[in-house]
Amino acid sequence: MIKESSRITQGQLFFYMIQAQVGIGIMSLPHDVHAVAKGGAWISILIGGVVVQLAILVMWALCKRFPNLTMFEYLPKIFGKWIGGFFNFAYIIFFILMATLVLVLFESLINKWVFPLTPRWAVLALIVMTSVYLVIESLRTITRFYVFVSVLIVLIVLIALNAFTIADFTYMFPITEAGWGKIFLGSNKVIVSLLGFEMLLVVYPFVEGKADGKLKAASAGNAFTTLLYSFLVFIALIVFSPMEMAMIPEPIPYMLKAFSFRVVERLDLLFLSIWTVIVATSYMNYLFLAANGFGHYFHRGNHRTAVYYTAIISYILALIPQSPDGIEFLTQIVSWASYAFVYGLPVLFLLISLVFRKREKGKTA
Amino acid sequence: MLFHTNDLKHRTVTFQGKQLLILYLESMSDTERIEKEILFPIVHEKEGDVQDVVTDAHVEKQEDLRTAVDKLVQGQAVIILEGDTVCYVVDTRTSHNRGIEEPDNERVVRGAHNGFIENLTVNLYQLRARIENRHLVVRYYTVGKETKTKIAIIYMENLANPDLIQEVDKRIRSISTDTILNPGFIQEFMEDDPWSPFPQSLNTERPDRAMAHLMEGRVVLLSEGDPTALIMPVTLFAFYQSPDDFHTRWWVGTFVRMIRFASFLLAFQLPAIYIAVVSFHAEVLPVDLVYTIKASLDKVPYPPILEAFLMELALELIREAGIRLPSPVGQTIGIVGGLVMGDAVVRAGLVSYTMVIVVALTAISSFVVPSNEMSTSIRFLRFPLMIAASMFGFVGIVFGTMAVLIHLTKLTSFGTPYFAPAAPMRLKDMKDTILRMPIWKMNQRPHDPHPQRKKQEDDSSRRWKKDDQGKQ
Repeated sequence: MIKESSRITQGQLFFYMIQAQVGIGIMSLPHDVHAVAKGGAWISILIGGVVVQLAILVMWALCKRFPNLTMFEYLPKIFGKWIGGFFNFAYIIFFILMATLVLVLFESLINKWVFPLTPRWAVLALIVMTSVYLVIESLRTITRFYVFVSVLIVLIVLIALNAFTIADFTYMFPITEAGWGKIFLGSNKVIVSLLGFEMLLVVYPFVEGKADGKLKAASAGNAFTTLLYSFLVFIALIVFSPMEMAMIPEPIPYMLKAFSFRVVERLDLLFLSIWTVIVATSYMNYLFLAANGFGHYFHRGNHRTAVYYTAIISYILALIPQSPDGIEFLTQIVSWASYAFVYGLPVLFLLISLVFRKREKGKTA
Repeated sequence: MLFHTNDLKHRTVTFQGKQLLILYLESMSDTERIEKEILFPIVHEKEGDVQDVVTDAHVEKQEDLRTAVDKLVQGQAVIILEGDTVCYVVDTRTSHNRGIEEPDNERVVRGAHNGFIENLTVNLYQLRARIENRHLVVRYYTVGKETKTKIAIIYMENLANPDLIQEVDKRIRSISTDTILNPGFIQEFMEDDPWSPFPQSLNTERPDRAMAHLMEGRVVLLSEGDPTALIMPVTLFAFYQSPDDFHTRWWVGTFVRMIRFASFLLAFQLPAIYIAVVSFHAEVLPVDLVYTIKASLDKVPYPPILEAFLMELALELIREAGIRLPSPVGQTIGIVGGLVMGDAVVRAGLVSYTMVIVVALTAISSFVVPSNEMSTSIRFLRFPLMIAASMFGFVGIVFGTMAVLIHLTKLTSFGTPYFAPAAPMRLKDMKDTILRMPIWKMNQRPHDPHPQRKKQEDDSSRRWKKDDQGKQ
């Protein structure tokens, strides 16, 4: 059972969803999707959002059957102790890998944009230590922080709005240049960028209220993130010509670098500072998920101690891939794994629990 | 029983034909009262019951000699009659009160100009006079095993959350120390997180401030011998409120609040941002400004962080010296330290002009906070942030700020979140935090002390307006 003092409200779930989803993807998403879908990239994002919504529905249907249990608690109920435990540890490894990926991508971007000379371990230590400091707290405290920093997303939108001063709408036409097939394929990139919502598997029982309300909050969060992403991609599309787009790996800060105001000459640094916080929340999310899994197995459900070594594992893992190829390799592994863990397995779990009529005993919420 | 002390006086008279001994501490008792209320009647009457003869309002029979000695130490007179098993304790305490003046460190432009003083009874009177309500409850405690300091907690019985009262009671009872020098001791014994740089209970010398918090369902703690009241639980934002805000028009009040928050950010971040900009991200500034700053920096051999530390330390020195010195000399220190040194240090090429500007601005901003305690915390916090900025530039500032925000989110004051209503976010309570909405809009008490009644206004406060419109 979840302690009363760590429960969160549905409003908080909405913000948790946003903070978990919005993250590292913002930077390179326009470039990646544009490479496939051309002018229709922003449509790809919307399609990706719908796919994610379907996944959220599956997870919700699954969690609804075990309203007071986290995934780590109910998988053994569906599959028995051993197979369930196997799945759980696979998930813990997946969460740690996701956390590592966030760290690696974050570091490589900081390296590229702000500090080419600062050693990797130092920047990584900063984000890991700060995150640990928050994640050792209860989910309620973590979420309070998430809600507070969500103000920054408004700032991001405000900064990005400046793009309309140099926009050229002809760049994005014809929208269906690449064809609908490619636009659908483009959403492939998006459903990886929108990751983070799988926290629902673990966080669901922490949320107060009825199942319908939880679904609404989670969906609203996903809708918000999807719209934010497609807004940013849209802006990148109208600022850069298709030729430029193909050459710029991180269009959003690149675009901001071009703006200059009387007071602040380089807006991209401001953007990167805000973005740093948003990335940290993504990392914190995975740290919490993995630590929660370890906590369930080794610390009687208390994730506090597990946070320390989970963070150290992800820190050490993040130090390994030094070259761009290494990063690319890790990205590939994680994105394939995410298809299985986020989009595939929950469906399987749901089907099995439906077929064998497994659900939490006692009253159903 | 009482170790020989020179201020112990005794007087023997004959009463009922027996010896009668009056003991009192000269330093604590009012000799005039002893003469008028004890000696005169006793010598006059010669016969009867002691309790009837003594004309003081407060005469108590005491069988335990040990307690009688304790009473003696408090300034009460002890009467011992020959051949009697009991003694009589008469309240003859003297009080030397400072006048009720406005506290120096919490001045307001408009509003009440009285403050708490060292005498607990007078302080309680000041609160009771403001809230003439039978629900106002005072509870006495004695803390400090040796000093036996008397403290009182005050709350509104019908507003304050019973759990909170119980928690405060529990924490006071668990204090077991010899010395309670001032409320700061109690504060540290009772705080949720004593390691935090942020004070978790508000201390004030203003009765009007204490009263406002009482009416929000909080608990006020007063202690004998100190003019500071502790208010708990509080939020970070309570430190940024001043009674003055409510004496001005609400537009002005809101404006002043915003200035204070800007000052919070400036005091906390400005030196760090400056260091980050000049050492890492000069490109953030417009080109013309970069040239000026570079020209000024070129003469300085030290890295910006050293410059900053030098100036900040100088400033803290001037501040500290200014407090310790008598006020006429204090002003001289300000002028010599501020003007002469500031100028000379730049001419000598130790510090750049821009750094002097930054440090001066930071200093002024940090003094804007209405609470001295909070202003010290903020000034203290900017040093780690400066170090972070000198090592990691903007990234360091972001993580440093994030760590402070996380700390604030985690912090609780008597179990209620310290950073409310920002985290947990409560838009309803924002009316009296960063903003100062019109008073008739603030019809609900803030949520953080969990008051028993949320509503504090009926809808009728401005009913006259609707009534007037109806007549037209």
